[in-house]
Formats: sequence, C-alpha cells, structure tokens
Amino acid sequence: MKGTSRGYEESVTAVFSRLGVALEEMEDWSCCGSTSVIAVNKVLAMALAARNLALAEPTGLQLVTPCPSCWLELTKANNAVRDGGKLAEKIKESLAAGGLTYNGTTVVRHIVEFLANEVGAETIKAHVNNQKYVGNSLSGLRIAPYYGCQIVRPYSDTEEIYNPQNMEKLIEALGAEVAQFDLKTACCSGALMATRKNVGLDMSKQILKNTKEAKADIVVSACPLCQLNLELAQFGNSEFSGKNEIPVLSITQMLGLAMGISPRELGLSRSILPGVAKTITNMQKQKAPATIGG
Amino acid sequence: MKQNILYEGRQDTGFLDEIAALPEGERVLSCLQCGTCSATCPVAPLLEHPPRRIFAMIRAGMRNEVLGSLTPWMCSSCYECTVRCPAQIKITEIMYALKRKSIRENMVPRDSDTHRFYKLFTDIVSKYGRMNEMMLILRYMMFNHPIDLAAQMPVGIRMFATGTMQIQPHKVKNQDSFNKIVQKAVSLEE
Repeated sequence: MKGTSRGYEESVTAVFSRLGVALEEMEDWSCCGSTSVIAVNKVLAMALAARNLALAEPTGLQLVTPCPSCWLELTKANNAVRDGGKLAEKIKESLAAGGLTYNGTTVVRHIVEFLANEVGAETIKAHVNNQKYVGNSLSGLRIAPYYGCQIVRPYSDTEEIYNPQNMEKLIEALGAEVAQFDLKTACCSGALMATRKNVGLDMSKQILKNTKEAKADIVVSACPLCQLNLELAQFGNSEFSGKNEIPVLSITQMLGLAMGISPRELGLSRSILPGVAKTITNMQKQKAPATIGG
Repeated sequence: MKQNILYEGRQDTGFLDEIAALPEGERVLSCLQCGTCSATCPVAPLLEHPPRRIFAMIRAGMRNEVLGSLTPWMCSSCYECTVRCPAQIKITEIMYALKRKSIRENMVPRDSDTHRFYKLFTDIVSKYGRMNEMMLILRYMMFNHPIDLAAQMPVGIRMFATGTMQIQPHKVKNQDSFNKIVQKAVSLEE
C-alpha cells in the first residue's frame, strides 16, 4: 500500500476520516505473503500472515484490509489457527520464536464488506448529499463494479460467489448507475502480468472490453493489483487511448470523489493513466443536465 | 521420439497416495473427472494439461509429468475451480503444493521461470518484512527478460513520476523478532 498502491492508501485514509470512522494504521504490519510465498513455503506464508493477526489481537480492534489477497491469506491463517491442527502448532511455534502469541480472535474484514455492511449505504448517502462541492458528483455516471477473485472466492460467506452485491450497494448510494457486466468476478491475471505478460494483458483486456460493452464510464476496483493490472493493460495501448480510455478507480477513490474530497487528496494523480481526474470531470460535464447551475 | 504410452512399469504407484496424504489433498481420491475445473479455469485453453487432466495424471502415477508440468505455474490463484469442484477438492491449494514440490525436487519445467518470481518475492519479504516492487521486478527481469524490462521503461518512468515506485525498501520496525519468526517458520516447513 505504501508502494504501487499509494493512491489507494491515501483515499482510504481520506474517506474514513470524512466518514468519522476511527482508522489506525496497524503498528509494524508486515506483508501477508500473497500468492507468492505460499508457492515456496507454506508454513512461512501462514506465519507471515499470522504475525499481523497476533499484532492486532491485543488491540481488540477489527483488522480491515483494502487488499483482497491480504484478506484471503489472513483468513486462511486464521482458519488454520482456529482448526488447531499440526499447521496451527507450527504457526504458533514460529510466532513464539519472535515473542508473539496468537489465540485466534482477530476479526479480519475486507474494506468493501466493511463499507457496505458496517458503515452502510445510508451513511455514505448522507455524506454524499451533505458535501459542499456538488461539482464532483458521480450521479448519472455508469460505474462497473469489478470484484475480481479473492474477495468472493473461496472464503466469502456474506456474498454470493457469482453475483456479489456489496459494491453495487455503494455505487447506488452515490446516485450513480451500476454497469452490470459478465466478467465482474473474473480474474485480472494477478501475478501473471509480471510472469506471463501476454497472458496477463489478454486477461485484463477482456475485462476492460466487457465493461465497455456494458457502457461503463468508470471501472471501480477493490484490489490494488486488479487496479494496477487494468491500468497497465491500457497504458501505451492505442486500443484504450483518448476517448477509449476507461478510468480505473479504487473503491475509496470513487466514494471520496462523490463525497467531495479533492482528487489530489484521494491520490488520483498517482494513477498510471495520466489525467484520470480530468477525464472524470469531463465525463461529469457531458452527463450533467443542462439545467443545473442555471 | 516422444513417448506417448505410459508403461505400467514407469508409473509411480505411490504418487497418488503421496498427494492424498497432503493436508490439502484429503479429497483428491474423490475426483470424478467431471472437468468442471478445466471448464472454469481462465488459463485452461493455454495449458497442455488442464487441471482435470492433472488429476487424471496424479491418479495414473505420472509423477515426472505432473511435477514437470507448466499447469501449476500458470495458476493465478483465482479459486474458480475450488469453489466449483463438486468433489470439494481444494484445487488451488493442491496447485500450491505442486509448486512447492516441484521447486524442492528440482522439477520446474524449463519453459517457465515463474518460480524465480515467487522465490524473489519470498526473499524480499523474508528480509525486509514488506514488499519492494521495484526490487522484485528488476531482479526478476534484469537477466532473464532484459527486452521485456526495456519495454517497461515508460511505465517505470510514469511510476517514478507519480511517487508509486520507491527505491528504498520499507522495513518492519521489530526486525529482530521478525527474523526469528521467519527462521523458525522455515525450519518447520513440512
């Protein structure tokens, strides 16, 4: 979040502070290992994830993560510890070597689920309607909710696997239209974008094309890597240049814009595609009814 | 000449049991060969051995062919197969297990160096506690993919301009405790 996803991080901080939800950055967090460490060493992957759970436990706070892969790996480690088998012993023994203990009580939530169910669409709607600058309203724009894989599979028990609705609820709260598209839970290719570039580009392009078929103005993503991949697939690609470019926002960048937070504070200038904020402003102008402001 | 027939004597009869004995392999014996995994896998059309066939090959004791297959290295961990499998086999987890086995037994296919990416990722995280994307991409691409790396220059420049590419790796604060956890976990790997 401090690197390629700085924009996402900045928008999370800005939106939560505006919503009045006390968000503390977890003290001394470390990488969850994602899909890479577990391909090399399983105990290490689970110990890395569990280290974060152990650090969060004494605070008694819920652990909210903006990244689906973190959510998945932390949930996997949580399940392993709670199952109490051989792997749980190895995880606990590893943590103990570093002076940590974990009893399996940390609650881990992904930010989309937290925003949809804990904060709620009504609260967000109230903040959108209360904002001072109506200029950033997203109402009338068509937004494609792109979930990707790991929020919904394999662990989500609050969402239907092939038709999750949490992002739809948030989009509707902003007065924007949902652009429904078939590939909303398809894979962006994940790390294949680095290891098999042609395959990765192809998978991400299919998703972008599908959102265009659904006449989406903007794609909203709930994952730092999906956001990056969908932007990389467009960067320097004539198929997606000029009018064909489709801005990719993180979930909190989208909410923040509708809540009247400045694009700068939301880290929009950190997008790979230059001028995303301006592209969206132009779309808003085109869509705005002529009577407004008269 | 390419050998297309698997003689009984070349089968590794213990391979199925070995996979079934893994914590993630408990349900592998219930595979129906229905093909749902291959039908849902987004990269299946690119694979010589789509996931259904991998399970048939495990059952047939084709140890070398399975551990030398490209399939696990093309798995993007999308978990489509896992949630759809009617036999509730943890397919994505088995793909991870096959990757680990393939690395450990030096069976990684020649036409893939994805394992290098995973190892570099693991090395960086084990050392600093956090990821440094530039270090990962540079180390991964510098020698083996120099042309692709050169093609990435415009993206790299853009990322420097936006402040999303950082040279200095972030580190965890309690490095001593972190190192001990890593060392212990590595020593306990099954």
